[in-house]
Amino acid sequence: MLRTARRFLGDGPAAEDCLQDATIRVLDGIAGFEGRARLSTWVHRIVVTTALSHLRKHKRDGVLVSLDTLLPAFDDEGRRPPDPALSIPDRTLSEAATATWVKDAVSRLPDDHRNVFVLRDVEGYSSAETAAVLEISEEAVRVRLHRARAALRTLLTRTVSGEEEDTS
Amino acid sequence: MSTLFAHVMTGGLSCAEVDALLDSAIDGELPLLTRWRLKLHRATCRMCGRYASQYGVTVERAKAAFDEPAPDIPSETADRIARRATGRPPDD
Repeated sequence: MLRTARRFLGDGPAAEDCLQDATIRVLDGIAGFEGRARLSTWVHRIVVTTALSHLRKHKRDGVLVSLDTLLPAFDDEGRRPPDPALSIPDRTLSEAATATWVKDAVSRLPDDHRNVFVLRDVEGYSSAETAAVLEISEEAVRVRLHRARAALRTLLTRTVSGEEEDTS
Repeated sequence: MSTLFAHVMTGGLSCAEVDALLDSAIDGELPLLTRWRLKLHRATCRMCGRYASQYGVTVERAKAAFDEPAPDIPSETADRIARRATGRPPDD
């Protein structure tokens, strides 16, 4: 439970507050648990919704990236223009993407994209489950996940190239 | 004719269309024909080939970064939760 809370709220006290609130919600709701899902799934969902609630109430500190500057661009005919970053070997990118780097980069994504990324790629939710939790369409989940992944790839290539990330 | 040839050799997909297929490809959700068209495009368009490869590495590493053992709950937090759950006063 704490690991999931930290994935949304970071390693600070907010994750522990979330854990406390989620635990109380589990204890309050356990009598009404109908067994339609596994107990662990039900508890996990409560932790996730509690963490999302905390995020809504407490705006995160720190500088968030502007996604528009991190997404691939195409010409009028849909062709990908030349990009020097594409010459960076995969192995170099892989070595640069340490856990610390990834967590920092993910923490700088806007909440609406970061939440989709965490639910889909970290917590392993399907698009449908993610859409249900966030109360958005599955198409919105797919778009946000794609933008989040593309932004991380650009941030990673910029880190390897020694470029300053755009934090506007 | 050469335009048609180029179209066929790139899987009949533009680079932008390829970009939109990357997530479905990673998640193994593409139909066989689309998978082959994507493969053909990646083989003939060096930039898309490189981009798709970097994109895949990024996704793989990003997922792995969070794959860690569950942390221990700090004892203070555990006490706080137990007190709140049982209604015990803080000094108990």
